[in-house]
Amino acid sequence: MKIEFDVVVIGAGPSGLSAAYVLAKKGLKVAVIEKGEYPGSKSVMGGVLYMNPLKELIPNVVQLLKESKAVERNVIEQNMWLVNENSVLKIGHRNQKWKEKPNAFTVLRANFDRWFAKQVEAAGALVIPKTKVEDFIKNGDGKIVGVKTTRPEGDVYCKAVVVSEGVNPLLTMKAGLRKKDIGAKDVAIAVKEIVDVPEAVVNNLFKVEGDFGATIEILGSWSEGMVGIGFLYANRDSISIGCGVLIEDLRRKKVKPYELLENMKNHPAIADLLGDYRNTTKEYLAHLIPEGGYYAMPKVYGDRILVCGDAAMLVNSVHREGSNHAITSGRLAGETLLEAFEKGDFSEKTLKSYYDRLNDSFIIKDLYKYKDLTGTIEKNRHFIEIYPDMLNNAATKFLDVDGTPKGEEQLEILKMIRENRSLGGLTLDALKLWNSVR
Amino acid sequence: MNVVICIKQIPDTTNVRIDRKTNNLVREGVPSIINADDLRALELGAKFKEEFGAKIYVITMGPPQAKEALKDAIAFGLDEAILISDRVFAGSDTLATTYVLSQSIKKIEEETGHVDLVLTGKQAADGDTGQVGPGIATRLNFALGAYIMKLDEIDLKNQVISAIRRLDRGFEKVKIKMPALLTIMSDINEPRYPDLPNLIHSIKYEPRVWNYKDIDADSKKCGFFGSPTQVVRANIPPARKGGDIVSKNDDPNIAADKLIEALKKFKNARLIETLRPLIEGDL
Amino acid sequence: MMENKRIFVLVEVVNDQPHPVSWELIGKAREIASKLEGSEVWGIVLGKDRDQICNEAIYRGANKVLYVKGEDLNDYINYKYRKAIVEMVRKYKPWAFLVGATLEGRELAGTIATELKTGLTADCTGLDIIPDKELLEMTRPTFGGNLMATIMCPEHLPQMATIRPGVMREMPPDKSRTGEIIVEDYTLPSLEPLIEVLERTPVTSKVNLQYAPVVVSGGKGVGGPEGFKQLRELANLLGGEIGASRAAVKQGWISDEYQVGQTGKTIHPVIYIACGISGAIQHLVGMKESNIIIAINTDENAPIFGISDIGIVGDLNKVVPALTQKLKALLSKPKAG
Repeated sequence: MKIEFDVVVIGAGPSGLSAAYVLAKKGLKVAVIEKGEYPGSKSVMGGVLYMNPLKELIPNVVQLLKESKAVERNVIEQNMWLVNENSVLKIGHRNQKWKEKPNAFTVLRANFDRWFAKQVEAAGALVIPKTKVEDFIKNGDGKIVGVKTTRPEGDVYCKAVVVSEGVNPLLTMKAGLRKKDIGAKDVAIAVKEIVDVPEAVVNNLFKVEGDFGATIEILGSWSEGMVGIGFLYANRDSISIGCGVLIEDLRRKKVKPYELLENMKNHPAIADLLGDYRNTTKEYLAHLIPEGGYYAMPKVYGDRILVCGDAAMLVNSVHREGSNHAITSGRLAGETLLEAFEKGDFSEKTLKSYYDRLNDSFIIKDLYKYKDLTGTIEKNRHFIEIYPDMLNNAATKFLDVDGTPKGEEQLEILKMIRENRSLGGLTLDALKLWNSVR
Repeated sequence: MNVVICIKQIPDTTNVRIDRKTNNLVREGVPSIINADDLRALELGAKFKEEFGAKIYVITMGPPQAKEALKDAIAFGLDEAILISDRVFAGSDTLATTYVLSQSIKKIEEETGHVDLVLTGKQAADGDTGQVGPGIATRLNFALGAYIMKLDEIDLKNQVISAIRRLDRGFEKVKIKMPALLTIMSDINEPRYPDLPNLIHSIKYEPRVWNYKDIDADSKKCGFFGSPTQVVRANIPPARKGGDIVSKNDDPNIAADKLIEALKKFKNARLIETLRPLIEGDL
Repeated sequence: MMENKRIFVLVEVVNDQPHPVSWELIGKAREIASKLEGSEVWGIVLGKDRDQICNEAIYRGANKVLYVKGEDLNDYINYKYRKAIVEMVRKYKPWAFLVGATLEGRELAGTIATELKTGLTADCTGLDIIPDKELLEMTRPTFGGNLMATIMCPEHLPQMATIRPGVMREMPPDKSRTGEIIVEDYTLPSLEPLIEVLERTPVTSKVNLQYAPVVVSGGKGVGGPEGFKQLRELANLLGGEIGASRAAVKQGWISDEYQVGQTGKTIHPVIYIACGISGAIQHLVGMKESNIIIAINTDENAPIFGISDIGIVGDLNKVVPALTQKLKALLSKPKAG
């Protein structure tokens, strides 16, 4: 029995599911082949999902999500904490508008991906779990006509393939779209724990109520000078706590990822907030995040093939944008293929329009804009090493009542800043920092 | 030949963790799987279908989520799956469970004219009772072949199964009269990795669902009220604590002596025949 | 209050010898009987030429023995035993019925309880009584030993349980004890032969890990396939089997049939001797329910010492041969007393 579909999507993460959704909605026969136990079983991300890209896919998504248990809390407040050894400077933004028009939700990926997969199935696609694609089937001309799975009788034929395999680019390489495997400097590792915290306590800790939630991002001394960002996200009755750092940094400093996370959890600011809830871990997750950005992108299109999501390195160095870009790139891949089906032409020439669409969307613009950022942060470690410390010291000076007149204090602060960095450099850095963590 | 396989969906017990702080069993995020012995029964069923064209039914008693286990079972290439699900089944002990399952098998018998063979796993890894198979056999008055570890022959003409079963005392080569119920040991075979066409079929497959009325069950014999046994408490056992290090870098002969001395203190524990003289002889 | 609360204990006979679990259960039944007024312990013996075993049941603590004497009952065949025992239970109406949780015992008890429509608690490791309620409290591990469930059977008699061999304490035989032996000459009615045993083979050839009373297990510290020979020698001496950690199996030193742990077998022997095994959690889940755990390891910080009852810090390649020699000498001595 020959198994045939119009399109095979490899990987049931957000990008693959988005592509499948677009195609299935228009009546195409789509199979999504996922190696994990179920969609989302292998997915990890920090845990904040923005609504905009999803709305373009499913217009009433906010309504649907609210009715489901697929998301945790509607984020109405975002905070940035700059920490040094024993103090913290907190910057926050709370927006009433987000209560009515949700901007982002905290999510637990296994739940969200499963929900998303259900929508894709309802649209008519077939999600095949527990099955790994190991290679492509090519015809005499070397054109891709299907995929080989590891199952017996596991060949699946199709007119086009969407590769959304995630950070490990095995098939992208087999398709000849990427020459080398991604390097250590292009990859960050995110480790994350989900700690059990009663709903009422979450409400209290984050000063929210009902379905509303908040996020805290943490920059500073906890990362021991490594390029990294930590986070705390309020879920319904748990908190996601984690951090992401560049693999190269870990290697250089000989620190294990979980040690770093322990370090962050034990920072006084977090210890004060969470208390014993730091030890109610119910799940521990680790995941590689492609951070190479623009320069590390593979060729994302070819004859009968498109690459999207993490596999295409479509992740902004701004950590939270991974699933955003994944969903948008998946949608654009789907739309490109719809057009190809109308034309009956799946050649590289037609599919190149996927790249143009990415260019027109915010994704590549974003990637381009930040193309040097990881490098910048790497070269300018003062983002992590000096500023949080400096700003905290400044705050201490300003707020400590020690008998020094205010005018003198301000002068002292300025002096302190000047000693560390030139004023010009400082302004520039501030802008960069703001850009990178918004 | 019509075969009914009873399976159970269980939490993956190797993943069940204990929260020592709250002393609770952490079941959240623990995946549900088909009990390992039952997978072997499914594999056996798949072989019967290939060899004799047997018609294979899979049933499970459980909540609606147990449908997933049935779909996974169908991926073995089996014919039909039925979920036996009803609120009145909740809280069933083994006696009530064997009642519900035997009623279901009788219903399949009614539909198909005859059931020749029922297969179950030896025991479920969560409950660990191993009683359901023998109980169903008793209720159906089928021959019971428990602990089957090898199947030599099925003689359909004479309705006899030749098999080897495992007991504590050794192996028994047996002939079992059909209709029979066999409980399957895990060493009988290796369950297959279903092929893609069957997997796709299973994803699209929707199992039938029977409630207590569908199987003509007396609700008083099901669930909590039909169960003679009641769980009155469930405790997390204390973690095993390490005992003494009785010897540290001693001469091997001294270490061996100290070990034997320490062993003699375990008079209360179960003795093994060989060590009995050593320990009791010292009384 | 019902008079004469009888606690039945099945005396399992294997190759004409009583299974030790039978005496463990009679010992436990005695203890329960001492807390329950008007109760007595009955040993149930089936077969022929079993007088010796009937006597021993009395010496071991039974008040009475019900000797179901029948030509057909000498070998355990489920449907025959089921028929005879169910008839006896209906006639003598015991209050409780305890059976050893051997594979045979669990099969038999499962069929008897179903026929009697009473409750059965499988594979118990704890048994007690609530005297004012006159109910048994049966405790058993579930969820792979992660949870202990306490179970009662409040409205059905007999309260049945199978009990794991090796957890209850037997009483030493006391030949001065006396008790009545009730002989029931039993002729099995003609039954359709549901199962026929053609051949019985004792366990010898195959890997016997899951049923071995002693397991001598080796890990990385064993150093190579040769090293398992000394473990085998010790295991043979104690009538046990060898086992291995995943590390040793992965090195190719020993076949994976011997692997203990998460991806291997879960076992609970009487004695588990971990030799050169550090004690990764994946290994511990496979053996932590062993009765006595002995660990021999050069690294005194190895996690295995965190759960072992007897710890030896030392080189297994020296300690194991020394231990084997010593035990050999001790065990070949004539039995004292």
